[in-house]
Amino acid sequence: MDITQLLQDLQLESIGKGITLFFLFFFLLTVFVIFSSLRSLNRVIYIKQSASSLLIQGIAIVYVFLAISLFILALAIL
Amino acid sequence: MGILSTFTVEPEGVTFENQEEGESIILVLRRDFITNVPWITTTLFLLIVPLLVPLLFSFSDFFFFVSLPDTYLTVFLGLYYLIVLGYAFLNFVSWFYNVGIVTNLRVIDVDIHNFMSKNVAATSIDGIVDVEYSQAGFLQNTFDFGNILMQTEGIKANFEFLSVPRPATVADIISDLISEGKHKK
Repeated sequence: MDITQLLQDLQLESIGKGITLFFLFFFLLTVFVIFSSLRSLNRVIYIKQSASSLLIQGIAIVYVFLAISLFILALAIL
Repeated sequence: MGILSTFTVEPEGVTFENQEEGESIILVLRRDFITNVPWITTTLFLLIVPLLVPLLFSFSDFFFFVSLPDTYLTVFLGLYYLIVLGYAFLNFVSWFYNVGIVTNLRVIDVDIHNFMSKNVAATSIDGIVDVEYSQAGFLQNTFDFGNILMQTEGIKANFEFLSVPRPATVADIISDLISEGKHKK
């Protein structure tokens, strides 16, 4: 393979990786900012019985962990 | 009060911001669950889209997804499903926290437009002049939900509970509270 072609391919791959990782990081940041405001919603109305407010917070935490895991996975495999 | 409750009379274990001493909750309302059907349908459709894409493109010359490296495909699929689940979760939370509360002292309307902005409006029971409800269309009449409009005194904004279940009962409960307030005076 021509060395110029190889360099071009490498550059394109790096750009692709960079864009994907930046997008994932931006997504992670958005998730974190949005979900951190859940605490203030729980103050507005808190439903103690059946622990529904806690359940929603739990789901949000699991979601944030999934987003972090995806970012780490992308860092590792890309 | 359960996680999917839309109409709860005198719920136990529910508190809200700025609840006064001696103030007891009489009614907690959410939009009727049937109003969630559009976003639930959209979510289910979006969940099966990645399964359909290879099938659809197998009949055409467009092999973009097939030609992507497996590593990218894994990351994109993971991100896609996270976005879809996030969309569903945001919609659910928006429904969950959009509540109307009727207490023995006042009526409170909590509106969450998205996670970042909320609007909490309250008016005293004495300040409500008139309560009316409306049900229009096939869905509202079949599933018994509708809008409650409460007119307040003077220049204060009117109150609305939209798409709440059993609007006739809700209007009746609020009317009774207004009458009780007037008798006490």
